[in-house]
Amino acid sequence: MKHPAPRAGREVAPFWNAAAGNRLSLPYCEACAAFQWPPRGRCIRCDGAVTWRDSAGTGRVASYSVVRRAVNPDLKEEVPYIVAFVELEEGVRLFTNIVGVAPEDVHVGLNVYCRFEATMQPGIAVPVFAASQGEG
Amino acid sequence: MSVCIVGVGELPQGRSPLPDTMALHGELCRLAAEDAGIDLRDVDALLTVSPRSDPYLIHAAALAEHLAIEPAVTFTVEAGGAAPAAMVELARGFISNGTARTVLIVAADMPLGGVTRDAYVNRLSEIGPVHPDLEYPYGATVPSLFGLVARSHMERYETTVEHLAAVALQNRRAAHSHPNAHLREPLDRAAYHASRMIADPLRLFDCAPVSDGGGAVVITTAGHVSGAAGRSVNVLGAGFSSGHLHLSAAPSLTEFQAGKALGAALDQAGCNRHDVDLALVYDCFTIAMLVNLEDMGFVTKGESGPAFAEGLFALDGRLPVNPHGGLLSHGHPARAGGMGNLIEAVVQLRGEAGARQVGSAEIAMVHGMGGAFATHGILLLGQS
Repeated sequence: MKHPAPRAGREVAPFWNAAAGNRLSLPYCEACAAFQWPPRGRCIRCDGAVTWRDSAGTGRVASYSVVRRAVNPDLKEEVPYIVAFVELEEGVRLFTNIVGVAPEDVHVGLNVYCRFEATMQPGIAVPVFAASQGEG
Repeated sequence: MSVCIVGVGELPQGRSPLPDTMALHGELCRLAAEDAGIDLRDVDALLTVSPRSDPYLIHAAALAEHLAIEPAVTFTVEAGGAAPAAMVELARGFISNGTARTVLIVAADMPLGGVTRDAYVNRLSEIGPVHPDLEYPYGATVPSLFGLVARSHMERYETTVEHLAAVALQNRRAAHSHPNAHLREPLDRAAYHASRMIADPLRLFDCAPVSDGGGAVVITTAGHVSGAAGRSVNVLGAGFSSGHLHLSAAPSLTEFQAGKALGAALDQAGCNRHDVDLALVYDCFTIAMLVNLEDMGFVTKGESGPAFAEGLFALDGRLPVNPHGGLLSHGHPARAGGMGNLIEAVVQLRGEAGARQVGSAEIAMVHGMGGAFATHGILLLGQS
């Protein structure tokens, strides 16, 4: 589906840069050996520096909603589309889209894996999720 | 020092016939001053919320200019749907510190008349509770955020669409007898279920309407305004909480912090949950009613759906909720959302609610919520 671009050049930029290279990268604290979300410059546990580490890119649908009425004019033709929270193996919960799954087939607990889609701004991609093999 | 509400002003919610949002503010202020029996020139603190349809550098100063008054304090508060509680709390501080004696608080917006509806909704989704980086690229809408919470609650607690419907129907029944309510026409189960899906599992009638409207309230000390004797309502306590702004940062999708705000307000007022006779709950969506009632401890976590459907929160139930119809039917005037809850509590405690009067209400709880379950503001009001 179409994706409006996020704002460029902010603390979260490494997330979008990684996505443009087909990688799902998450904030990670080496000292605590833990991922965190949303991105902030420092660890929410120890206040130390945060680096970025690639995720395995698999998880499950924690919740979803099927948008039947888009408010962004660019997305009016895209309905119905699925927004979701996906709980990753690494323990963080991402807001995302579920793609390639019919609205009547999506459910909480659905196993999903990460894919990447272009945004309306060249060079910026977003991670989205599709049903893992054998699911759907 | 006993701080009390001595005047309220409200106009019909829905499409306003007034030319612009500033004119609406002016009318509401005049109504509240008249109800309180004061001259607007007696106001020495004016608090407002910046309307999305008509923003200014300092909105409260622009309103004072419009009213041709010169209050010492002209502050504009940013607290989302918790703003009515926040403004009352600021008024208490001004009065007890001696900064001001008569405080006028007003919140109004005209999303229908002030700007086109689509333009308004689109802007709200971009800069409202939707995270501009982490949620916006995925086409998040405000109803979809509440839809995600509803789906989580259904999955975890077996809440059903019938439970959501019970909230929508009760609010509409209540709004029928409120002359200022935006949506007063009867709504039955069949019409609820036939309404179009907006963001599964939320249908049209799970969502509050977009309304022009708002209200104004005059606050002062007991005895300061003689004309208001017998009709003033005491502010017994206030409490607040702030858990996140964006749902992406919330630790849970089913449990938030309305209870922390209520706990603080109860401590301040020196009473407990059982003393609350009437609850005005911020219900911008049906699921917000259910989740907030649980988080406030009025029902066990996960039990609000069945309890609501069984009538526990009906106007003749154990704890009557939203006799004005809530945001869902009384109306949701954009940035002024929740002023209706505050005004209804005052009208009920005065015993002036007519056909919708909840008989024995001595203590009322007024809840406001900013964002998607993000911040909460609670007031406890009592009969004088």
